[in-house]
Amino acid sequence: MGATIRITVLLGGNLRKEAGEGRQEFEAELTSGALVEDLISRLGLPDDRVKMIMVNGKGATLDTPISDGNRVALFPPELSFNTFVSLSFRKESVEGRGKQRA
Amino acid sequence: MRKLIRVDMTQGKVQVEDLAQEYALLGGRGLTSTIVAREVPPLCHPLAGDNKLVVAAGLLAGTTCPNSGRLSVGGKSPLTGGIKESNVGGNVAIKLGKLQIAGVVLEGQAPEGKLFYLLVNKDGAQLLPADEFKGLKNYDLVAKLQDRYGKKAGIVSIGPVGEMKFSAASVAVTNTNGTPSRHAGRGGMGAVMGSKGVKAIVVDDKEAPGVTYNDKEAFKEAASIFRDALREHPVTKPGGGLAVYGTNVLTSILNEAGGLPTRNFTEGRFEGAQKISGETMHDVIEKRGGNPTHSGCSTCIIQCSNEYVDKDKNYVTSALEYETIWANGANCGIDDLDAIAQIDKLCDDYGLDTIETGCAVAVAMHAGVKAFGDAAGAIELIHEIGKGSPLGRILGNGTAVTGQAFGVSHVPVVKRQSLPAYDPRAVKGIGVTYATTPMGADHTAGYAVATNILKVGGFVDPLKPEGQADLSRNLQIATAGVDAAGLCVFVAFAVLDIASGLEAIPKMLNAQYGLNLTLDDVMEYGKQILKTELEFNQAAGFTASDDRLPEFFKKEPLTPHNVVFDVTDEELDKVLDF
Repeated sequence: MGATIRITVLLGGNLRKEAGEGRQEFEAELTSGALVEDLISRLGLPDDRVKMIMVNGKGATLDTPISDGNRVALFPPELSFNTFVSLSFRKESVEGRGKQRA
Repeated sequence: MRKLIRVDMTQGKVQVEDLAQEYALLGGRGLTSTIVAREVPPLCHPLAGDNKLVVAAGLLAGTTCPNSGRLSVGGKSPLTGGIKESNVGGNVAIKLGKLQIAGVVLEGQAPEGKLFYLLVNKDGAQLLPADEFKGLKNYDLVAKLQDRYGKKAGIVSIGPVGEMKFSAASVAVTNTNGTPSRHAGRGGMGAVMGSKGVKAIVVDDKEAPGVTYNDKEAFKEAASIFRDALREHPVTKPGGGLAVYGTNVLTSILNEAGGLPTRNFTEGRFEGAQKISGETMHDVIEKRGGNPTHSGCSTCIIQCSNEYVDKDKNYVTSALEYETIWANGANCGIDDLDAIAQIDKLCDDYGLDTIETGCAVAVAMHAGVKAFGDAAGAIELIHEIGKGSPLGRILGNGTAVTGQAFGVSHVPVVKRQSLPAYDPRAVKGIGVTYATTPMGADHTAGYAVATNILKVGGFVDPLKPEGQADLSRNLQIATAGVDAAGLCVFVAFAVLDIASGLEAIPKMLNAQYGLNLTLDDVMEYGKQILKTELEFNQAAGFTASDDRLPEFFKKEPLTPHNVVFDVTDEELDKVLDF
């Protein structure tokens, strides 16, 4: 197995409670080469509870690789609106993650 | 036939007239901007008798359509010198709709030193003396008027700041509880109301005739489809993102995206963001027994409002909003939610735009008047505005004046109106809107409708200049249409993803007014409103050089993405060139 990487995780909305984390922001350790989807399963979050993903403040998808020192933010569907609008991320860019996974 | 109330403040005369044929299908922003463009000389002084204050309900006001209670307040802005529509919720618009009143136009000027209020009810309208209310703050004023007209009366009012005619003065509107906590904040419309000598407009809809429908059944059907869309979408449904966290849901998102303007737009992330985030606010309100989910505006089913209470469970303020929390929080380096709630209450009470005020305070902090992060200092400055001290007069006239008075070159304004809570370097699409909207820097002017519906192709990366001009144009057009209907901008989140909800909007308008509009027609309607506003601004002396962001956005890279605003001037000039 690869080396361990340390990252910062931010969970938007109710995800912090659903993942059993007391805090919105916390440190986590992953195996080197991990993807965003690996983090999501590590946190025990069902697939449909994460709709918007940012890695280091930029829009990301389920198959985005995570590197040491990255900051990964996960937002549930009920918080995933302004990215399509103000931030002008495209809906497909986040929904497309499903396709990429399949 | 809807009516228009015209009040000649110079003569003290009130006239209730049938809405002229040419205005018959206008509502909300469509009505305010058209009346201002046709009837106000573009070069007049905004605080002189030739300016008019137009208060208009949207086209769907008073109907059973959910979230149709927005009110437009228009005139020539003393802040920007251009046309202004400031949009607000509360309980007044639907009362006007039920009374079949499209709007109220305040014209001329009361004799120096005289103050009046207007009473609107089923019998028409009446101008009454308000000298006894001089200098009253909004909460006290509303309490006195409610003693007279009951808790259910809708009240539009100004605080002392409006009476003093400062350019950051807001127009307050009572919420569903009768609290003056909804504000048409932007552009100093409170100063225009003050310049007319009008302290309040009381709207009593007892025994109102109600809205007439051309086809009531068709309306009910369309409204029900529209309601289903709002109830289904994760953002707008009961228990959804807006209901649980309010608009402050955005703090975490914008901070994460590196677009949360911090300490007068010098950084894109605030280290104290989590202390003031929607998630934290929700937990604080819930723990203290306040109300995190509240319906601030009549007919609202999204419920993004809240009631914030202090440690002793006493009510502090209602609808602590993202823009307020950002302007007076991150933008001032303040991470104390209780202090921000207090600032919000003070702004509501004095009658101040929380965005303009927070930005002015941040610029003063940049100049060293107070230190960034000094919450007590910020509160002190807001009291100075309320008192009308020389320092308060500077701050109360907004961010541009404050920058000028203190020799600051880092002043985030467009057309002299302060920027809202999205840094245009990291969120370039909204930067284009700030630069080009006829309103001056305004986030709501081009915010509401997702790109896919508007046929803007491809992924528009917020950090890149490509595609931002098209995006902003389409958003601005659609928003003008939404504003005319009197719908809350947040309905967009639902109807974008749920096509039947979007199609229900023209269907409701058609059923109410006997029309045959398509969605394209609604867009065309929005375009017409924008054209009208742009022509007014041109005649008022605005040129392409006014459609620019301050130069520091092009020169100073913003952390954490180290980006500048790099949409070219040529592209900006094409945005509203139709």
